[in-house]
Amino acid sequence: MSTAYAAPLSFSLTEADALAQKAARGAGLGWGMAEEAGFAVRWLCGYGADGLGALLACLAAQRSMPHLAPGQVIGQGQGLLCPLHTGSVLLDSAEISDGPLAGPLQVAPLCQPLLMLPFLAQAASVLGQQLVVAYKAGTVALPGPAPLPVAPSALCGALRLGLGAPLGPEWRGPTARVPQGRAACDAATLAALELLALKTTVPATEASRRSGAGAGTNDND
Amino acid sequence: MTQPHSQPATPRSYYRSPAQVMRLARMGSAHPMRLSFLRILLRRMRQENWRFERHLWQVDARGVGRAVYCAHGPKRSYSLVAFAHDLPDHMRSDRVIATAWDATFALFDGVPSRQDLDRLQQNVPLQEAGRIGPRELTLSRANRSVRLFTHVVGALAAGRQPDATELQEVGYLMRTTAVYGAGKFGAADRADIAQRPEMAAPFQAEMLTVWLIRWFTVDIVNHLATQQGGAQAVALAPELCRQLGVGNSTGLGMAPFLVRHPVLLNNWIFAREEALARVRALPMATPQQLAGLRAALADAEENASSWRSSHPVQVEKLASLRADLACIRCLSADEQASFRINGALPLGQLRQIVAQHYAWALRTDFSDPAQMARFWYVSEEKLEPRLGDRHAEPGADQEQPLAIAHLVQALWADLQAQPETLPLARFLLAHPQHRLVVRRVLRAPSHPFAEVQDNLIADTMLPIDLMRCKLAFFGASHFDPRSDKWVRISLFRGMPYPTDLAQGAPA
Repeated sequence: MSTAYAAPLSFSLTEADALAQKAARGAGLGWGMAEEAGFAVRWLCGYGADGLGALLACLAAQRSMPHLAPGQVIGQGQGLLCPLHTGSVLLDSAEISDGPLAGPLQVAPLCQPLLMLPFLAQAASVLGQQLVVAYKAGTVALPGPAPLPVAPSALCGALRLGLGAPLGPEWRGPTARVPQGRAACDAATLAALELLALKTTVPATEASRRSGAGAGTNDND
Repeated sequence: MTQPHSQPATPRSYYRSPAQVMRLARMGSAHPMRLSFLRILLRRMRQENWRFERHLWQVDARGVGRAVYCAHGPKRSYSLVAFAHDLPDHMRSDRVIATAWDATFALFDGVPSRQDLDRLQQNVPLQEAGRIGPRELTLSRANRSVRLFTHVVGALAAGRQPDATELQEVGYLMRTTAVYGAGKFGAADRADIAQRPEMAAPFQAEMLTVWLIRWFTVDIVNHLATQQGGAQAVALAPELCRQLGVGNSTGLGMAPFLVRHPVLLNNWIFAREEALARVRALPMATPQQLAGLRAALADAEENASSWRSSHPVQVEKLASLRADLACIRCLSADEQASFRINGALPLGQLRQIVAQHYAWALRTDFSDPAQMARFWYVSEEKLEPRLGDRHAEPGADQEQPLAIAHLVQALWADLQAQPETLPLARFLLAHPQHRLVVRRVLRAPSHPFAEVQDNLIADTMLPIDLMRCKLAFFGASHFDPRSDKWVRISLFRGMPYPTDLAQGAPA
């Protein structure tokens, strides 16, 4: 991605997804979790939220891993709960009949809680029922039409999750509606994510330059 | 495309198994066919009576300027915006790392205004270093085949047709070195256009781009010949035009695509195998159908006889491909729909899936250094996929996850000590490193053709086999392998031009 353009930079969702995956991997996440980061960022950008900014802040912070206890998710280790690992395990568990989403769930404070919402929205689609996130000053029910009806900062602190109303058919199942749109972020965020993404690459050596992509011959033919 | 046979059931014995089909050596022998994406495009445009026009031609005596070609369908129009450049020979490189080209292109959604053209002029010639937007569907560039281009312009300027043998030998006036679509460099996302019937099949925007580029390549030689020869110049004869396709020069960058898009790969192969099985199951064929088959075979033989390579391994390969021919005398995917991991699955069932669908992977002996010889990585310098030598080069710690067999074995080892009934979600919470391969394994039962059933890091692995499979699905003909990692192909050779299609020529 070129950094030659002035803010705000506009990207396709595919680009945002790809950059998020590379940056997450560059920051040390496993490849599969990096794919989840791409999914979450694409979803948030489609909803008009700053998914790339949230991911960068998340990757820069020390985060604790989720531990599932009856009725609650708590952190293991230093820092706030990782929203990607927490979101992933909750979505993975959606179809477990006595799993964490079967009843009310208390979730310890998250680092960049915005990043957990895409997983909850998808879990709700699987369950066919809204998931209601209760935070300090209100509630948000997922999934719903864009834009997201909650400011990212409002989600700080402990959250409570519970099941809500049944979903209409357009929000159910693996092909449930996901808003399309464009992704945006500022130049500094882009540069920082690209720097992380670069950590997934390998510097050239003389040998690798020689073997290259396989073309050794002149192209003026 | 996960429901196997919705048509009247074809007996199972007519189907080929994934173990037979999904081998690199076989994929590397793929041929273009009726389901190839460029043929799908041409069939649709003919059936729907698309109209085509050269909307704008502002090119100067040196061949520098811009042009617009429009394709008008029943509902929408698409326009190829072409920028012609004057490129010094020393800057001509087919590598993706090049920074200047003989011509650069974008496919515009609709008909561009003057403002659109000015915006594109600021960006398209820069390719990767520029930005396009949601109104653009593709970004691409092409270089001249210097030898043929010069010969053709010279002949036409002197008032005669170029040598048909020369034309036959090269097969194209220009070759593209990249055609980017699907959201790259700011272009419209695939999801934005996937609902349109004319864009539903894979790579239709890319194929349309290349087809319109073919038109441009003929116009630019005619233009330059007129500039050089004045009243004496003649236009390239239609029968010679027809022999020309658009070249494409493809390196290692394309190889990982099929591994990264297992659902798409499954659907392509599935559609081909389904078609093949239905044909094989027919009790009899009419004389017309037999004549059609013989004509297609003759075309394939003629096509194969024209492939050229000076690379020893590939020379042998081409000979055996020709021998193959002598002996015989639903395609898109919503990848997001199969992205989610169902973590309720008990590990006992996951183990069964691995045992049943990945026996080929579990058989590989990775303690043998030859089976671990390579690693796929992305180069920092070019941001392109590369293949390294694990035992001699640094960088294996940044290996890309393309060695599926190896990843499956690592998963298999960690699954052994786990209780049968433990839900997958719990296992992944403790072993997040297996998340990528678990996602693939879960798709296997409904997508039997999703995996290339070979070790992609073995010392014997030839990346060109992956490239060839994908290119055959595109509809590429005329494979000229330059090495085991680099191939030149031709698209649309022998096929109609937009102007022919309007006159009812067969696609």
